[in-house]
Amino acid sequence: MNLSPILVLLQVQWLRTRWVLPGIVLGTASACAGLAFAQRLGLSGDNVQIAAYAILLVSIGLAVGIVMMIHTEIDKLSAGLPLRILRLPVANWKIVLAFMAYGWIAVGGVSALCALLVIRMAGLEMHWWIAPSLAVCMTSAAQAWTYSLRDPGPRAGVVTFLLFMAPVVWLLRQDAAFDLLERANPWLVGAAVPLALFAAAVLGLRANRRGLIDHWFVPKAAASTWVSGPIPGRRFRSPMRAQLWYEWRTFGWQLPSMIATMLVLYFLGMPLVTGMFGGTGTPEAGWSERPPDPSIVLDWLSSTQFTTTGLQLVAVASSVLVGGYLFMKAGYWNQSSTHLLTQPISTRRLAYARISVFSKSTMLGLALLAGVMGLINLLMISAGEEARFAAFLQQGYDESNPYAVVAFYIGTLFAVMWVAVWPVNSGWAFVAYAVAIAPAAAVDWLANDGPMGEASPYLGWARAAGSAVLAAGFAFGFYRALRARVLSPLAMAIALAFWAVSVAAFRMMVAAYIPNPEANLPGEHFPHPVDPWLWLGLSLLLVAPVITHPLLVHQARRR
Amino acid sequence: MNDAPNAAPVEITGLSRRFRTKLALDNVSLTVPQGCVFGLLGENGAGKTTLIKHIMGLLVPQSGSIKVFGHEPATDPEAALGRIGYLSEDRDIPRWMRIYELMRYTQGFYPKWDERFAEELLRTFELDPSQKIKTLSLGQTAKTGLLCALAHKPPLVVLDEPSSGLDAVVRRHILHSAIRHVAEEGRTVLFSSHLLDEVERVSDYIAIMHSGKLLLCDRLSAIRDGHRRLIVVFDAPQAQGPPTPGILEWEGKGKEWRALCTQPVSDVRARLATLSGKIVEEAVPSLEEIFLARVGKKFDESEAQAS
Repeated sequence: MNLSPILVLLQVQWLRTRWVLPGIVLGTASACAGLAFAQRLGLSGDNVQIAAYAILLVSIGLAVGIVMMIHTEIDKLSAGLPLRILRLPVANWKIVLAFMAYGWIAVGGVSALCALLVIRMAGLEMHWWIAPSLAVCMTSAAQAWTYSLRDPGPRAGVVTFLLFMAPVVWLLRQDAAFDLLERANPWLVGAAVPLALFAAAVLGLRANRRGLIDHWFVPKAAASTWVSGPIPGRRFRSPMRAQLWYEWRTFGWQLPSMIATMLVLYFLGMPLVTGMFGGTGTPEAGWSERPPDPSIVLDWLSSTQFTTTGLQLVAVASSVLVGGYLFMKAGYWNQSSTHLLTQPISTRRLAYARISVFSKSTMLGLALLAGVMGLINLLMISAGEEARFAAFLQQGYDESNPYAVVAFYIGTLFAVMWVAVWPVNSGWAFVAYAVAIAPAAAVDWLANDGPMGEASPYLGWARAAGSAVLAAGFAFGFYRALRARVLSPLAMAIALAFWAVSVAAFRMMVAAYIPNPEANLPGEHFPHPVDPWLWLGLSLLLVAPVITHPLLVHQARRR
Repeated sequence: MNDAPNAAPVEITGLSRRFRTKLALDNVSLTVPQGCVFGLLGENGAGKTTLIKHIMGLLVPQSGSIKVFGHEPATDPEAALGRIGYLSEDRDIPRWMRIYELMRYTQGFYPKWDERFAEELLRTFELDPSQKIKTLSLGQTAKTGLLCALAHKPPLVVLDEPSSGLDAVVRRHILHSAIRHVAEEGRTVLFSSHLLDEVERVSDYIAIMHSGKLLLCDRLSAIRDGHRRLIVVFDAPQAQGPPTPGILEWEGKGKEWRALCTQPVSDVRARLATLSGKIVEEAVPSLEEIFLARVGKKFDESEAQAS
């Protein structure tokens, strides 16, 4: 048996990760040391446990992410194995074994070491083997999934992953399966799951290499053209219109379509999976035992907690996924592609086209979310139920106008989506803000034993410092953009409009807060939007992309 | 957006560019005259693409200046780029588009887009307009890029390694005829290549680049007239070609040597006579011979400097 290809593939993976994986362990050790120090300074046991779990989860997440990334071609954003691997004259099982075995060893090893570190240094109360077992199962599942796909793209990735997870969720909802898992030997389960996934991965890779599932997502192309709109039959009236069409077809349609997909999956998929396949209750009934009931979907929708949480989840997940995808796409964020930079159009217009399309895209996404919200209310009313969507949001603000509360909620969703689809532009502003507030926040944390302690002047200073840093950066960027003449009046109008959204949201929050300052709001020191300094900082995050994007395009054109 | 009167399509003066420690362009000056085919020749890494990127405004001159029809492409991209049809070396075209979508999109930027000519090119290049660009072969992608560069009939066509990916038949019969067609209409073509026969076949003007320097820039006919391939016979065997003013390169052994000269043959003949050498044959060299002699000499010089 010739094992040399497996060894070569293992070696290649080791070479690509040999610095990062030990780095994760070292990082975990440093974080644990910091946590232990904080504990000595008096950080309470509960907070230490939460922080320790967070450290462990981040470490495992990083290890899984790094191991998954060596399969992918980052610039092409393809989740499957690269073609150069598929074309290797090596048997399917050997390729799968080489990649999965490395995943097991690397992720399992790093997770086990991190778990031991967190248990020993930070006193986390858990069995050490749980973390590596879960991490290995997660990695194996992700690997088995990606090996069967060729160039799936992010939407197909999300859809297939959710479809893949649905039976798992369903299985976990079955008492018999749960009982079996509870009674089974954990070592046996830990070994059986990766082996089963190994077999699935070999079959998936076999089908992939034979081209059996090359075009499995056939409707995708047609759907994308339908959603994003075909090219107009007549010629574009101006270069700007052509560029707007390009931006919409390339990027703009992705956020609304992702939101639509997620909405369907969440509001139809989740109740169906958890409810129709038996033995569960509604969320409001406290998950008690109950026979399957077709009205379960209606029960889910009438649950305001799940509706509002669902909308939040959909907005955040969609915008983060789309923003992350665009960030990873080579050359997207500063428009560094030769094709775009050599178009006979001014930098100001080139940049404005993207700003305009992204703002329309975000607003359309928001309209979808608001539409669903309205639809649910109508559905409830038609079913004879009380329309009470705002009730959940209004908890503690009973005296305030429900429309104002809903408007604040919608405004917040918009802000989150807009900031997330500009990961680079908003990211820098966010990092600057976080770095500026970090020292004072850390002092506050330690002095007050966690973020929910007594009011502290430190955080007030921190927020003021962070906002001052952001405001200074914003002023500098604005000055540079004006000097380079890359800010179009329309872009400035958009910036002003978004600033107004922020002001309106702030005013509504203040209006809602004032009638009942004690209700359902954290203490004074907690950074909620009533704080004017925090509001100033956050509102600049919304404006940052409008200023920084033209500057980045300008830089790319003047290298 | 008016052009400067009598402005040359491309005018480069003292252009230099450094990438960290590597000097990519070293004080390059050249003018591309109106209505000619200008071939930019050089081996890989000579600086051809860097020069073209400056022309397209993708790089800003670190020193010197560059004008396209009197406009600086880096500071005034709208005016400069609107007059250029460009095919990039990396064939950077949105891969998700179909060919007809790319044509319609590109058309939006160029008011002078000639729909009939575009259809004609589509047929000549045997492209299916409904095909997605990501499914095209390398050659088909190059043809698509070429179509978009030519169909708006720009006064200046800039092609960076246009032959890359094209087979010999397409290169000879389609690319070259398209290039000549542009020039015959009084428009200008600037193209880079490392294929000497291709440059020789279609160019009116030639610039030879080596290590970021412009070694030679002139009309092809003037370059040919200025060089002669000689066969020289000496009375006694020579260990190496004797250093002679006007001789660029020696090749041979014993008594019979081949030389490439850059000065009038009569002058060289007189100098060789003093060295007991006699010219027995005289011919016009090919561009390949001139290029190799020029670039080879530079190699020798740099090696000598290094040693």
